[in-house]
Amino acid sequence: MTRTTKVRLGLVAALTVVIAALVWVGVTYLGPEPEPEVAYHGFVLEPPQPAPELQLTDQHGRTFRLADHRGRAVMLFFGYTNCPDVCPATLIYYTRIKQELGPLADRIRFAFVTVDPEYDTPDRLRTFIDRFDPSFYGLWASPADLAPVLDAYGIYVEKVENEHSPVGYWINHTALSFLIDKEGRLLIAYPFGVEPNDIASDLRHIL
Amino acid sequence: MTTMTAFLRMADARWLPVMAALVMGMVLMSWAPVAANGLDQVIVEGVWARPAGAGENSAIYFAITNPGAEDVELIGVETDVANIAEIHETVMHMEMVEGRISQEMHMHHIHSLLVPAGETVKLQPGGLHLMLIGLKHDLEVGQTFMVRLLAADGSALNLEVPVSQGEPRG
Repeated sequence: MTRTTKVRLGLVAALTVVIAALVWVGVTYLGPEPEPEVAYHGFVLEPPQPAPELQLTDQHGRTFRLADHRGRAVMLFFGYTNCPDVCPATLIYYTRIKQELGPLADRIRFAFVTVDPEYDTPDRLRTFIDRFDPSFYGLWASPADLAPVLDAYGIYVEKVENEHSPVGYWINHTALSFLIDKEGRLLIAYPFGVEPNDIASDLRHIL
Repeated sequence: MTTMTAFLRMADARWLPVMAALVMGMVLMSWAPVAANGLDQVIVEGVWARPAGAGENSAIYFAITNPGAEDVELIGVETDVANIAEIHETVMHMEMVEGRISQEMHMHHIHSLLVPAGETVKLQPGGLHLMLIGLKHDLEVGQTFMVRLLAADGSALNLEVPVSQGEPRG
């Protein structure tokens, strides 16, 4: 090659590098922001599965079905009314989440399913729920109807005799809050202890 | 032999260390500060109890700080507002089993709660709490009631507990 050609080739190569560099800078710093990955605060169930259907009775005697709540998210928790600590605390957290969400709270329902249907009648559930927020659902099913639901959601329940309990026993149980999205899919499981603010911020993403 | 001489004879080399020790001991004892009673000096913050109905149970939560040099051991709770008051702890077990979360919470009565010197112990939902079992009347938001904390060293602390739906904020 002649010297002139070499010089020309060199210039073209240099120019290509410079243009490439400019394009890269442009895209990285001036281009559209890549969509940030949402980091949810609980156990994200991947891929999201349809939430097992519930056919339970609420504290007013009406039937509760997840299918009736499409278009709204549902927070679901399993506990019992004599629960000394975690269950009432969860419902208190739900009232905080509702406050945090403001008008968005219209698009979510909070449901408490009793794992002690023999003691927790719908009437008793109503008194219990009213203490937190009468718009929450207190759900009941007979032991026979409840068993498959507990199984489907992986809820561990163990009655332990204890003379100090006002009813003679405590119940050890799974204390996970399940977030079911507007399409009826099980999205996230929150172990007890996740801050209401964090759950509210997750809800804002999906509502 | 005079008493004086006899006395002086006693004060020989063997006795002097003993006498010195006794005198020192007495001086030190009068100098040492009176042993601080554990619960007299603790700081309790953010106390609240959950509302509940008569016959049911409730829980009291707070943060307790021990600024002293000695550990404080809480061994009991007394109150007029419930049949039984005890220290309890909720414990969570959680593990992944075949891709599914397995989680379970259970609660047990604990007989003594140590607040180590210079540390803060937090009683909060899902963890340590004072349980009120068999309430004698309704506890409604806005009410207050008294409890008495008891320590192993014999000290005690009266606490005024407000009934609310959560830790007092601000």
